[in-house]
Amino acid sequence: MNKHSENFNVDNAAINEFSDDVKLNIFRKMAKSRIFEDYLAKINKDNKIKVKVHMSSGQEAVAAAISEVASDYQIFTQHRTMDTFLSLGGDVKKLVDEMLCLDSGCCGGKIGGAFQIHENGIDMYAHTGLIGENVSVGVGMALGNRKKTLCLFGDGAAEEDYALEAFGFAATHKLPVLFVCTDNELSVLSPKEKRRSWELADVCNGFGIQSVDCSDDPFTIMKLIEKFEDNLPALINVRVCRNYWHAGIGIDSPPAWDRYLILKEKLTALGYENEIANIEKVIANQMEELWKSYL
Amino acid sequence: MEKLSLRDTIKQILDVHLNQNNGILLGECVSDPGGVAGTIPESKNVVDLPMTEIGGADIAVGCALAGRRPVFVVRFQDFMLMNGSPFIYFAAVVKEMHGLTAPVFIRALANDHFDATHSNVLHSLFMHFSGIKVAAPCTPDEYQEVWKSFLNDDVPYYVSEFRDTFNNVDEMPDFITPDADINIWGISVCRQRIFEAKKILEQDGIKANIFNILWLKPFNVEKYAPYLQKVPLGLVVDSGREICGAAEAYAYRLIKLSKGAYVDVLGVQDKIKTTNPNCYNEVPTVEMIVAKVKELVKQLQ
Repeated sequence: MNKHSENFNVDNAAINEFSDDVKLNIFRKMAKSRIFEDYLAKINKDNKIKVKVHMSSGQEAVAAAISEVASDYQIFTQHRTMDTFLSLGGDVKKLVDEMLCLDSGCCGGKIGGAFQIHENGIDMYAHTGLIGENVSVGVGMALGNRKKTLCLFGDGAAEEDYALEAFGFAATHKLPVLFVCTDNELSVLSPKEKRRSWELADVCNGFGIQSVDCSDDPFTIMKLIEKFEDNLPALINVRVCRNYWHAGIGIDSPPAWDRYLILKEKLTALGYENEIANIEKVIANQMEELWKSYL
Repeated sequence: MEKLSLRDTIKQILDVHLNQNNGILLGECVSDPGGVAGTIPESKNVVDLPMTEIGGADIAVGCALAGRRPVFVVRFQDFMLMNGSPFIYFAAVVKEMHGLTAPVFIRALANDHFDATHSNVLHSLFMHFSGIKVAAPCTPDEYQEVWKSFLNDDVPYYVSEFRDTFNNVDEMPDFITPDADINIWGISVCRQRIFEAKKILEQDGIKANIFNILWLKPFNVEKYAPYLQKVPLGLVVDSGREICGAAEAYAYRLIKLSKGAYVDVLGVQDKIKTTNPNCYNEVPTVEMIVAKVKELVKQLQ
């Protein structure tokens, strides 16, 4: 079976276990990230943004699912994280200002491509630039205060020696950490098959960490997060496709699948056509207003 | 009351931190009986890290974010080359970059005569980066001073320790003489060797002002201006390498401080360290310090 496919280990009935509000909330969050980045892509054609932009487009379902059922975790994020910031309710203006390296950015404009939230009950820690450091630092924080911690990283970061050590340490000390790997099978442009012969879920299973490997259906992910909540540490390796280059807004070829469009079709089939059209319209208006001053 | 050695002072400080104040200590092989030169107390808050570099330091930084004021122990400073990045690129920047704090107390031990990868002193490397304070305490009171400062601070501390100082009981105050021929600044274990050298030099009629550098960064250079103006000759002696190290950095700053002054350096040479007595490349010994001072004084005459 092709592991990197839209239906890999997806629980297609999971959507039925969530209320109408939750279904639409998930779509709303994914739409917000998608439409925000669509505008960002427009503005950046003129290279107005000087920092490296790591687009989340295509991977938004993971952040939406996390924000819906794991917003009370200490969340340690990676470089590709605009969707996480927006889904957790981060101030969109602070996000733009950060990318423009302004004092009013969410990190004082000092890093440009990393985002944090420490308000409204959300604790989202930005990384400082070394890929995978959020895995081992997050594990350390869980050791320090024994609070539920979520480390979000990519399949490249999972190969960092310090990340691998952290999985083992979390297992040894039974730390309350949920590891979520967004596995797009690419580290910059290097395919996973050329970098390693192993799968992260197998490695973590070997450490004694419960591990699941599945595609990015948000309702499947939410069910897994809820399942693991009282039984950590655990890993969810999520198969995703990114729509753009590693950094920047270039596109080489269409993604193998687009979860946003899949969910849109699914919700339409379930009779939410008007609701999702309205959500997209409202968000598009908000983004138009936001980006007006920059366009 | 019996005075404690530096070793017992460290152990006592850590005992209070770990067993009364919910501190945490992490490192490789730290729970060995008598481990780390007998400076680690028994405590449930002593965490043996797996034999990993970098990842263990990251975990210490995470504990710091959680407010535990972790002590991170590395038995050989050489290993700080690998362990350094989480402290340099996360703990030291997170305050300015993200408005958070990650205060870690890094105990970096050193010694001489082991081999090329277990005998180096790397405090100069950490002086290079912003957001970290660096100290090299050699006496019980100095260690207490550094520890208290750390508890009231919110940045990582790199504490350069040298095993040959652990038996020290007495303090080492600066020594000032009105008719000095030279000013000598000492760092780490070199300080006690400078005081030994002083006795030999005095027999040869050479008198020296001796200054102890506890805080490597920040380094308060201005207070030495009057001494250099009176005696425009100096020597900085360090347990680390001369090249691009603390000694050269201080010599430069001291020379800038007092026009016409000449300040030289003495440290480990730009060669590897070995176990062969014919080519140890060791930390400046008493004999090396005496010879260097005589050479400088003679040149000036």
